[in-house]
Amino acid sequence: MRRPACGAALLAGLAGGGVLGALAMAHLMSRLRADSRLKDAETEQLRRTEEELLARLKALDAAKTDFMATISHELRTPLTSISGYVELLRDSDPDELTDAQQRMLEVIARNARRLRELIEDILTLSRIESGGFSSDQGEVDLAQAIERALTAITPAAEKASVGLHSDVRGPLPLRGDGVQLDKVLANLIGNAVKFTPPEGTVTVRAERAGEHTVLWVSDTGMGIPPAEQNALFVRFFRATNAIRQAIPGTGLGLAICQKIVDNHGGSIEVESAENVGTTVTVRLPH
Amino acid sequence: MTVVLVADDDADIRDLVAFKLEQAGFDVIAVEDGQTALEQARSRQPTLAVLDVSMPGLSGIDVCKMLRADPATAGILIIMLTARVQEQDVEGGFSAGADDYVTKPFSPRELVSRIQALLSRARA
Repeated sequence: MRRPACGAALLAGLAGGGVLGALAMAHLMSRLRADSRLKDAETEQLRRTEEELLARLKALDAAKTDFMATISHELRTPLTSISGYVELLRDSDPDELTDAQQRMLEVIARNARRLRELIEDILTLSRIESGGFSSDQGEVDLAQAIERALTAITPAAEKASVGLHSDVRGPLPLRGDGVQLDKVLANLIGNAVKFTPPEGTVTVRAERAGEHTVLWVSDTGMGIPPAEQNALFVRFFRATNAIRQAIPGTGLGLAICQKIVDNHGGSIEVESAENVGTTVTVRLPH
Repeated sequence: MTVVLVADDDADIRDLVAFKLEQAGFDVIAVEDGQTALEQARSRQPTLAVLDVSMPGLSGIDVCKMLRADPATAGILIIMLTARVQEQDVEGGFSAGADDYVTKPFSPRELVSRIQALLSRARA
């Protein structure tokens, strides 16, 4: 009875967090096993089965990552035609199209954009999971990175009439992957702006605290219903109030952020009250 | 009129780019593979070439390298079209000698402005 249970735990681990999750589960299983009084031969058999299973899971995970990258790549070609021809149509003489047709083209364009974002997020996630991370570590000044992210989001914030504030005393040097940390900042600040109604504010704070550099991104936005806060980092999850208000998104942003922060040995948590606001806290080791 | 060579094995994208560039006032030669692109570049001497990276046979990168290696075609401005966004692909395009690269899916409008920017830089 133990072997199938062990396999199921490994599979659950893989579904939850890729090979690392499966490894953690395997570790846990072997500790449990050590506690029990199995005969040596049985233990050896179990160990070998686990090893084989792990090797297969690793191969499966690599194949999955490869497949995702190929799929994302292949999807770009038809998408180029869809969004490109829609652009040509929308750029044509206004008299040639009725208002209703213009609106239909707008819907196609918006959905092509959504598909593009999905493809990009899936590719990003699979690349981060495939371990494209460790090679790119270097010195990063989080204060400068925040400054860049704020500059990039300013036009969108102005358009949405959302105020941007920052309280960051630099420099905040840490070791990490600059490109990936930029993604985290763009994502968190972008979310804050996206989910905050006009006249609201988004505040970014960062400082050194002991062994960590801590980043807070707070907004006065719509918040996340309490029952859904645990699911925030699950891939493709989107809060019901976001869906109801038709706020665009792929549901992959926070999963990507969590993966990147994990890779840096840090932690990420969300505190939120519906219709009051949300604060995301990220702790990164120096 | 400025002659622009367009090479992409996907007919819909090739037509899209050709249509947009003709609309923008360019004289367009559209071809569907790397070998033809190379031949047309040698015989027609375009000012600029838009090359898809992944074409069967000779890839856009191969064509780019061969154009750069031949003094008769080394001066042609080259924009690569790529569906890959990994940094190493982009670096690969530049080290092959491309002047610019555009990632799919791209906006035809943006492609035209990138071409115009490249042309005005080259003239300056």
